[in-house]
Amino acid sequence: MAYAVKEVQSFHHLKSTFVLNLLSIGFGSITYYYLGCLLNSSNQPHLSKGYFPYVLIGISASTLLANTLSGMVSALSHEQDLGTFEIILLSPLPDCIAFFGLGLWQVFYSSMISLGYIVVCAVSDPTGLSFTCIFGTLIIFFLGGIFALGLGGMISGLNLYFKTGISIAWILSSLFILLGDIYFPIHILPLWLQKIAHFLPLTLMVATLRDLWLASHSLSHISSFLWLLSLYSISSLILFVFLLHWILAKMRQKGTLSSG
Amino acid sequence: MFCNLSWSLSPAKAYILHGRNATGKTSLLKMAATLLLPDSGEVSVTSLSSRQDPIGVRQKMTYLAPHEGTFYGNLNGWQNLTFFGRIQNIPAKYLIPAMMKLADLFSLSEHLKLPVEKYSSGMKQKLSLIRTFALNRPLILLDEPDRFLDDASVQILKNLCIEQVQKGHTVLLTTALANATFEGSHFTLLNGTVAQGV
Repeated sequence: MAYAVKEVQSFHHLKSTFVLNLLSIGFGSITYYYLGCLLNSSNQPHLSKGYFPYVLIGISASTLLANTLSGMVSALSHEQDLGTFEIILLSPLPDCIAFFGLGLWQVFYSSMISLGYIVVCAVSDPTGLSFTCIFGTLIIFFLGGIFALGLGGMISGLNLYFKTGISIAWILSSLFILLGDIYFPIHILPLWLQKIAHFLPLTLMVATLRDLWLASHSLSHISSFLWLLSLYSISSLILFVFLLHWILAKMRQKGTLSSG
Repeated sequence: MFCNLSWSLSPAKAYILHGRNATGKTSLLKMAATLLLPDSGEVSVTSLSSRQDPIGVRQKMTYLAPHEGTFYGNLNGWQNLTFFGRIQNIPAKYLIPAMMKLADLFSLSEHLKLPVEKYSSGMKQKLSLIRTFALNRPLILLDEPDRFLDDASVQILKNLCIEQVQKGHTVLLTTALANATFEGSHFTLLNGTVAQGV
């Protein structure tokens, strides 16, 4: 709770950033609207309503992951530079709780930005809007947020120790663009890349969101995807806890918790 | 950095650790605070091992960092204090009165609504001291606590240390100044070992 209050208090000073982010959603959406005008001729199932809603859903899911990763890496690196990271680790709570506290705001903020694209999608075609869509989207964002928190925590931890986390975040973001089913259907990729793409949690998130919004599938129809996404999320959290334990032990041995 | 170092601190006493720059004073305090792990050996606080039970050790101690920038510059002094207090799991009904009392003592109350980025080095040091002493823990680790402070504030700091000792707490503070006049047992860290006297 303390972390949330601190972030809200900091955010008060960053309202302009939020407004700029909203503007970027607007500009991005318009760009893809016109791009969609060019590409609406495909007969793929998820493209039956056109390219515009198709790409918005892809961007929404990839924004959640990419923004959380880069946001967590930057935030924790900033804490280390400030010296506040050491002070936070003095709290009588497990270290992973401090990381979660610092990362939750990034997940929340990225989710809000990502949901903005879903809102544009719903406004552009209100006929697809239903309770199932909204409820299912919230579940997917919740599970995707947990996955992003675990993955972001791992990369932030690596960044604190090896100082290469921001590069990893950028590489993953590029990989998401290539294999995440965001801008184009993955069936146009070579077969071996398709096999990798199918295993990515982002591809799963995008496909499930499109099933809800563009194919009007029910929650029971997507339940197997949700279980799989839950598995990814729990696995990322467990891996994160183990990796963090190892990294912080190394940093405590080397005395590099603080940059100062 | 340390060789065969064995040092035991008693409750209700103040220890002043002298030493030149780069002799390991900060490292020693960080080891006691669980921020640094020794290559070998053990640091224990009230019979709790910092290696086996770091969370238990953190519940017993409070630590003043040696650098001034351990706050969020865009938050005000009060927001910083309440954040760092909350993550220590101390109920607000104990924490807030203690912080207010200390802020009054250091004449910082009227500046607590200012963003910390506008604070002078001395004000930040006072804020660090408030954060440290408000926790009321049995072991108080202070790394060069008199840095940036004026004479009046140093006197307040000395009185606070005496008050903590009277409560039965242990105070361990470091200083690079040989003429520091804190009350307590004086030791010197040199060549990786601790010896009594300055």
